[in-house]
Amino acid sequence: MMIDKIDKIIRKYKDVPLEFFGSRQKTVLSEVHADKLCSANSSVNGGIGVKAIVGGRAGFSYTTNMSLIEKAVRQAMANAKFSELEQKTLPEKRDMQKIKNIYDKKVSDMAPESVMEISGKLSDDLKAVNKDLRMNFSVVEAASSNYFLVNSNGASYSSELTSVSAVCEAVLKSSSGNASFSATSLKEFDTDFLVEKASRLAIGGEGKKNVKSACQTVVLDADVIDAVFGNTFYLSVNADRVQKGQSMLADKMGEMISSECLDICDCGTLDGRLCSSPFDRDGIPTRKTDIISGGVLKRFLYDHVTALRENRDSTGNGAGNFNTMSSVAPTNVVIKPSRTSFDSMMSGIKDGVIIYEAMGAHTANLITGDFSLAIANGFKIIDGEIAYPVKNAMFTGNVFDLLKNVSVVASDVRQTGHLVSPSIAFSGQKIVG
Amino acid sequence: MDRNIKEAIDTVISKGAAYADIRCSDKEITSLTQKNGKIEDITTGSSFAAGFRVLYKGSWGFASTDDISGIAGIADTAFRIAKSIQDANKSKDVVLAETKTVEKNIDVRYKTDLKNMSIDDRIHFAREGYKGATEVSDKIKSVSLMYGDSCTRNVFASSEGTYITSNPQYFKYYVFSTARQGDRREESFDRYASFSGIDELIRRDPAKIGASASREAVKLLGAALPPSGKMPVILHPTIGGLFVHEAVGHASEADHAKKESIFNSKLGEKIGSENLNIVDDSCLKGKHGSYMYDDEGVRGKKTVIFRNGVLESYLHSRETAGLMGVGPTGNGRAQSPNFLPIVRMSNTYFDKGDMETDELFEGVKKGIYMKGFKGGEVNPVDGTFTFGVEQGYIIENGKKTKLVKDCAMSGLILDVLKKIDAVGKDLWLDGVGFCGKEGQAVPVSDGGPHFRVSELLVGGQR
Repeated sequence: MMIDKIDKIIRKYKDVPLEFFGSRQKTVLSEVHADKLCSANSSVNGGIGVKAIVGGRAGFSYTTNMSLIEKAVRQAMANAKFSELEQKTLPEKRDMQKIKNIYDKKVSDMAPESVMEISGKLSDDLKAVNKDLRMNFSVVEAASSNYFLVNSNGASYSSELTSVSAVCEAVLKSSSGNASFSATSLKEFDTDFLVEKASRLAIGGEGKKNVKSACQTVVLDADVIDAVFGNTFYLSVNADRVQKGQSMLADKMGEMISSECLDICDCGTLDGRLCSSPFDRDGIPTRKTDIISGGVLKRFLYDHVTALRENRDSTGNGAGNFNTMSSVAPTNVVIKPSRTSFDSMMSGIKDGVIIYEAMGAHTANLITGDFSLAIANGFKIIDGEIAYPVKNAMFTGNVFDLLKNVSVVASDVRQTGHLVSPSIAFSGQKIVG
Repeated sequence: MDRNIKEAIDTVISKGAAYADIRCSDKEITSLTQKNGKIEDITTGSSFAAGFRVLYKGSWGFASTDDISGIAGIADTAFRIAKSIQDANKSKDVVLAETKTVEKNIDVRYKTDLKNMSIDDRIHFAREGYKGATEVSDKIKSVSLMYGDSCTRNVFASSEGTYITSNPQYFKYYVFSTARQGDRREESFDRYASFSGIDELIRRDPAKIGASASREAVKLLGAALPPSGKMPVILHPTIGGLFVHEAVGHASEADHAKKESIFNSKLGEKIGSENLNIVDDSCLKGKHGSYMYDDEGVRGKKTVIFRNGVLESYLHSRETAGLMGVGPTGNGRAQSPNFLPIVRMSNTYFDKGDMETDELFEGVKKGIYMKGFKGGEVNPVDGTFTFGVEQGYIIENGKKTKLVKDCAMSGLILDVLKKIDAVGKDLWLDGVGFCGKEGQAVPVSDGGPHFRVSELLVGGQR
């Protein structure tokens, strides 16, 4: 019915290229505080956004009230007249791909009671590890969304996504351990991972010791890599920032920018990954884009508008929801694993620190890539073994320097946020104590 | 009171709910971005959201929707959720702290009403900011500007009879300037945001905000990398406020304090130095964290958290205040009607001392003076906190020397609170920030005087 209404509007304003993006998201979540299930909630929201191109310029408007779509169209047309950003065309209609295992009906059907059950299981399983452990805080969330894109060029695509995610904080005396995990289906959702990691970090965090400032090998968990990259590296390969002179990699295309063993690609078509989707916010099919291959910078990430500026193809990296226009963002960023297991990587480290959780990644310098993190959960490594947890220490460095000092990429791949990566060891990194 | 709202509340109360409330917001937004002088993205939008909260004995249920006709539905869902948690958990009854029932229509008349402003008027703000930013220096190579405003009609209604409507007009205005010299690129920013209407932006002058961002970016081109290790630190108010927010504010939120937190059972104890005086005050005029009523219909107030080093009060929602048998402090806040209110700060500041700023530097042999907010984070369980700073000066023998940039500082709260050894008598309260907690971002402000910490861990690149 919605699509019929949109078709009618497209016919009515046939001289104006129009794009409609609608989405609807259902979220059910439950929260535990201090071992107690405190609240649960259920929310439904969504809306529709309209882009109109008038005189080669785009304007945008959105509404959460579906009966006001035509008003939004007129508003978008009016807004276009003020824009100075050239956008001559909307993407053409394409054959659309199918992506497997990004939607699980069991997740979208979940009632609050089923989500609460998972919260309860996490707390029970934690107690089973050690009865003195407390679940200080946990949230379990089941989300499903369906979305569509229709434009005046005849494009008409829709898709559905689901995710089950949880974060939990286990506490033992004054030591805490955090873990988070997300999956696209209930089958892949791993409560054991959450409980094992949170309890291991909380128990292992007892008896923290000061460390001396020194350069050494630093192993980063995927969570920490994603946090650092999210505020630095992902931005430096964003074509919009490159075009505006806000990227240190702007003139490095084709050059070695990292250790040879590093291969990083963006891939929105992966089965069962959290940031996969058949098409992006512009209605362009997602794809695999090599960013770094054998250490060489291969390509930046583009959405439709940034690609038009350079007269090249979009890489399908247009991101956004119904209430925003498209902007460049990564989908799944995949760091290619090696065959080296996590344990054998660790056994090769004579002197180092492993960091599971760091605070302050959002204060990194977005352009230069300098960062300075407080280590919330980290351990000293001596002769290949975890020796003791570190107290009040920091990890400072620069992301471009980090890329050039990869010593071992392990094989323990996991997705966290955009990143699909194993743990990685970097040599010669600075720990401040 | 709107009939649908009253009926929905009455229905859940008649089914046995102890308490219910609803928040609705009807919002019109306009935003634009400008990059290098060109207006790129002009967006207008309208959205509705309603959130319904039910307390059934000792358990909360909550549901929200974007559908204006869906209020009966979310009331029903919220009640069902609360009841099923209660049936499973048999939790002890939640006692909400008493609060005065109010019926109030907060109808602010704005001198310049956003509703009468054209897109052109808004573009004018962007042009002014760009002009201000580029006039500073030819080293400014890129200027990005974000402007957004909203007119909201809010309704709060509770089963106790409180009914509050309000019409806040909000704006945010951010300018990011990038300076370039040879291979060096540096970015800085300045911004202001307020719920007091657009006149506050006009008063502050967009051109001045742009110029300030550019001046800092150009200055940073000449900055060296900072040192690292433990040293005395003097904090400028632009960062001292963030220190207070991260190192004191979060741990004093009573929902943390009732779980595992370093301030647990420390009320009335002297855990900071004599110089430590910290206040949270939602009633300050025109600040980013100001409001008249919180999202539980409780009147905002001034709360002294620390007085002369003694932890005097936590910040409360009605639930945490009820649990501890004290009065509510008006700190129950939610990002939007789609979220449950939780304990949050408003405008949090370090109260002034009695020293001249120059006196703080005297006697510091080797230390660092830092300013410029970049964000922070805290773990209230073990008390580790960190905050990022943009720039500062090395202090040598009581004098500011070399300019440095980009570093973070970290410490353990209970250690550091004892190490605040000198506090200035200047007071700046213009912080603009969004504080994130449990997936919700709410507008806050912070500030304070210049003050000195005798030892902090500085994570510099050198």
